[in-house]
Amino acid sequence: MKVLIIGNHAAGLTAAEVLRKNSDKTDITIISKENTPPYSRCLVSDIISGEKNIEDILFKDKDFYEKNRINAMLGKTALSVDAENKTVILDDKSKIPYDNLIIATGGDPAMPDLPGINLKGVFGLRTDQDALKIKDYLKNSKTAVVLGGGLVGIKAAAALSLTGKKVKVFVASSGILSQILSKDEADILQNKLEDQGVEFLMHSDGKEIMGKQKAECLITDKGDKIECELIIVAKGVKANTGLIKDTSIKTDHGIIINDSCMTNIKTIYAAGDVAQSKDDIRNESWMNSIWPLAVEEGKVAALNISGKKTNLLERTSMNAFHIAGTWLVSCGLTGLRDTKEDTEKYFLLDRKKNNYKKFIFKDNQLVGFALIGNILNAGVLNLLMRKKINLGNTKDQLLAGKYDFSSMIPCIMENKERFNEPEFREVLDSFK
Amino acid sequence: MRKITYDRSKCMACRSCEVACAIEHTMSKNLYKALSEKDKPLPRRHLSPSGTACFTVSCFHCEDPICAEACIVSALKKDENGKVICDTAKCIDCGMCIMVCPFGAITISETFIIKCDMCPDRDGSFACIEACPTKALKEKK
Amino acid sequence: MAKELKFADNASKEMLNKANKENIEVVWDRYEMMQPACGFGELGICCKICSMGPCRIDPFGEGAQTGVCGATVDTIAARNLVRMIAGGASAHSDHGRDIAHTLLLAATDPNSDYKIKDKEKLFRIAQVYNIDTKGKDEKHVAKEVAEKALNEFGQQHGTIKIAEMAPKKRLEVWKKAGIMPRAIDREIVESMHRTHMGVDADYKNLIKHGMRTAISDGWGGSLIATELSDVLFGSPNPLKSKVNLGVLKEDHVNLLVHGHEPTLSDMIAIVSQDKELVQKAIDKGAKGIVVAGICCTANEILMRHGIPIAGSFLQQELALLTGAVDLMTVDVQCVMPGLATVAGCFHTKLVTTSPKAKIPGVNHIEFSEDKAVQIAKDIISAAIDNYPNRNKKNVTIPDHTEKLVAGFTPESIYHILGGKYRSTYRPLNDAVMSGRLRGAAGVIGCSNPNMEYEEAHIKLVKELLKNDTLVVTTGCNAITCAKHGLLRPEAAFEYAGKGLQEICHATGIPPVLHLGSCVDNSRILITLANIVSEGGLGEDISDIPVAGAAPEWMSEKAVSIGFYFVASGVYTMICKPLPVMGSKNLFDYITDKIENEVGGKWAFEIDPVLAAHKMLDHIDKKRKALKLKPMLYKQDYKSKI
Repeated sequence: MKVLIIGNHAAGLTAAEVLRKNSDKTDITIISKENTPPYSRCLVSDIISGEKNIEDILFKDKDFYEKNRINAMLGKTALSVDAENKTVILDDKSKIPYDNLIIATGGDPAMPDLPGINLKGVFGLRTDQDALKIKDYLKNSKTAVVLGGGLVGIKAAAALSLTGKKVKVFVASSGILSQILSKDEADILQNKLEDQGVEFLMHSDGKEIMGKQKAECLITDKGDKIECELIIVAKGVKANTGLIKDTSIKTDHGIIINDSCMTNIKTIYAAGDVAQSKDDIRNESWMNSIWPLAVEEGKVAALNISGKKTNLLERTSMNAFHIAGTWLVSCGLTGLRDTKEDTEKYFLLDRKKNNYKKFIFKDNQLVGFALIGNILNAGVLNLLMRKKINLGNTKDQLLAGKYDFSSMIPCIMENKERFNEPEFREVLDSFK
Repeated sequence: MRKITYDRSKCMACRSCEVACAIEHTMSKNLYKALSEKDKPLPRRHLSPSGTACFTVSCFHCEDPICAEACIVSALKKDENGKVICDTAKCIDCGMCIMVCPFGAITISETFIIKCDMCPDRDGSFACIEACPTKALKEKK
Repeated sequence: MAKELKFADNASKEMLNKANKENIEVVWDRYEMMQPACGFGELGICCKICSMGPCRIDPFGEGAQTGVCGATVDTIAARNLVRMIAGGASAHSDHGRDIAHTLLLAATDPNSDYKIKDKEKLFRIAQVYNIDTKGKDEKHVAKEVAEKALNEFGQQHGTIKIAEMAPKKRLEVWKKAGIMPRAIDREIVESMHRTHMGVDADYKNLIKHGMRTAISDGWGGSLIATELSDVLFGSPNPLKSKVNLGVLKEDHVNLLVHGHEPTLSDMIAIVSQDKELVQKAIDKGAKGIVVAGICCTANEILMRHGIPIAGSFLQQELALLTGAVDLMTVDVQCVMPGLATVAGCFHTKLVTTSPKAKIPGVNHIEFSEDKAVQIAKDIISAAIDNYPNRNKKNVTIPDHTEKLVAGFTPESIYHILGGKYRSTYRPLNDAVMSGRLRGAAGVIGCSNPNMEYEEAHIKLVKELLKNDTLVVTTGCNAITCAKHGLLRPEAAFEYAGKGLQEICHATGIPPVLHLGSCVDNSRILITLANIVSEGGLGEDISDIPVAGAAPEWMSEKAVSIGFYFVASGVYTMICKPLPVMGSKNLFDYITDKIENEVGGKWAFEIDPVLAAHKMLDHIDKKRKALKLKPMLYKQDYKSKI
């Protein structure tokens, strides 16, 4: 069987590994437009600050392709998919046939249609090349502007604040990270970044970039003129679905996949940031572009292709990061726009220990939580949330911070049948 | 694959396992000296109340480790012996694995994550098992 | 943060909520942090007596079954228990010693602030000590009594004289068992000696000496404390007062006394009425001075002066949370060092007063009996000076108090039962013999965060009252019963069975009689001795239809008290067990076989209602043995005896 994987990052490489683990014979080919060894895209902002080099953020061994007998076609771009003839056409006009196809093309920074967006000094931030260019351009810059208060923008701002340059971040909404944090948590993180020298301008967006051949200033939607030399556009990621536009594959914000990671075309799968799967807490089809989910999609696609029928586990949005000396985990319906009336929210701030917890319940089920500072046992909450366990009896305990696995055992035992993973079975069966 | 079993009915909550685990993961591996080391001894095994009894959690070295899936630098991996180990030199302290470990078996320091590594410096025995006075912790045969 | 109190009084609930809201750590939070508790400690099978250890016995049989020296689990648990008795007995007896010294001071120092208030009682005690009182004035007699009492602590010959207030048959039991106490300090020294590495390894032998040590407390140190306190501060008589945090006042200076020694609290109680001090308080903007107490010192000044009680052991921090306490003095025993942190969150001045009991970082105004009034004045002055520093915005005094009647003693019970001219115990004994009263129970002791606060105390007492059992109480149980209204005479009609109701109606007493502080458990012993000598209910304490209970015990003092009741022939019930459960032999001995030797035994029952039933079973067993008449009125609980 010949499996073709387009994409050389978390989803694609996991798929390749799992395919190889399940069969010696499968012919595995990876196509990627980047020519670098696989590196963790989540960490490119650290290249800007100089905290890390590309060698520090590689996530596969140098002999990965060799060890797994993968035919790696790097530096080649897949332009289109011919679903009828089961081939993929590359930019060098060659046609690669497949029995099964996994599209893991990820996304590219969305560049809004602003006047001046193409001036020198305006960058997206996704690849190591982006980061290296920004690092270099910084040398002759005094003020750096970041457009966008999402995760990419905030990480970029944090990195920039370590370079000694002035940093200004323009956030269109009322809080940073509004997709995954509500005002309470966002303010805490914003304060910490402000302590590090980052300036935030809320309810502000860039309207125009002015300059002769390179960026010299930004005009905001309020009409202010901000002098700057470098602008990072972090206004979202657009899924790279271009290559399937002539097929009948269903898309929305990304390629729609079912629980087996299959598209509506039988032999075509999708995984990673390009894919749109389910969100079991929002009960909608949703783009949850996050590493662990991407890896799971790659794994599930590969298992299904290998003949092992597997479904995606219950999932929802989840994010973990370490910024401005603080850890933050946010899962489920914690975003600014996620406020629904029939939910109960609890907000607990421990000023002494600099810890913060937020819990969001709906009908006694946890539908979202955020932890800042002390993030221990986030995984326990994450699991209870995704499995929609009724936590009515344990609410007080949760709010008192006792949500470690040991403390939650009585609750888990009451819902024993829902925990079927092998490790759980072992542990739970030991309680007679 | 070596596994540690825990018989809750024999556990006296004395925390000898926590202490032994923490001391094992110090430079001196000695109770008295360890307390004055620069880095505070940190246990990989944690005991806490559970209902009317107690329970202790340390990494279960899962068959299909979700922490390894979540690790964005592939620091967490399952090795040939089935142990899930963290290459602490690669670990970037991001907290993704903590976000997904369903047992809360991973804790974190300022530099890297902390979790059971099956006592690589010992002669094949496990510090917690050796320390347990009632043999509530045993190795699965 | 601690969750909530489910059963306790409303003032405590309110103050705990405030603690949670303001993130102030209190005892319940610290208790939760400590869980799960080490099972070796709980079972009594951890030994730290020598450095061949520390040793732990594996209760499941696989690991070590003896300590390094070869001590079995029985030896280890028994040694630990005897040390607890020694600790508790030391606290009570040392307190007794201080009172005896104070009596000596009152007798010999013409300038002493202490006076002899109950001459009659002094002369009665003199008789116990075979002192010839003819032609002597009270100071002369007091000197001799004090010296005799002090002698009981260190004498090298003979036995404790004041213990001879026990019934003759009881003294015979003790002599036969070889546990007649010789000297108060000596028994404690021998307890420490026997439990040293390589001395007594026989658990029965150890417990026997433990009982002797406990007897030297109950019928020795504590008895001296109670009796001589009555001489110095006045014997209590029934009076009315109030209890709970609502006794603090927003527009008054609030001074709390906490601890155990009436030498200090009694002086403060009297001196706080001083006109100059009251004027000083008014000058600072207050309307007056409120003195209230926590724990046993509260009970002492309640019994003698009717001063209201602010709260019990577990409320010591909650009282400070009102933000209205200008100064809290502490002396010895049951004082949580954690008070310093809570006091630090408010303007409250915490002051230690005993050289034996200091807290790091806390002000110390050392109390000395020879300057008693002056030091009391200084303390009250300091409280008044601190009144203007109150943060009026954070004052929350829960508006909850309860009325109570207290002041009962073996002597005042005489008077109540018989009237002024015919003081007697006859009506009490007759009530039991005729079946109007099933029996009596002493329900006493601490509160402990390891149980739902006040639940066991109240449920157990109410179950006894329901079944026509008169309850006498001391210490924190008394304060708890008071808070829940059981010390009001009307409580008889709300909670008591018909027979007990009739007694209360005829005499005007509440169904639960407050006998005082924890050393005043000796009053219960004297009452039992009086019941025996009155006749008709047996010849020894172990014959009387009575039982004892300390439902929420916490301290080593409680262990000593329990053992002296057991040694006196009383069935003694507690809810959470003593740390002996790791030794089957020891458990069997103290809950069963020991009854053959001393007529009393321990019982452990975690459910307070079932515990009450077990006490009633025992009471009924005694009724049956005495061939008493069947109960006059239908009983709610029928035992299988």
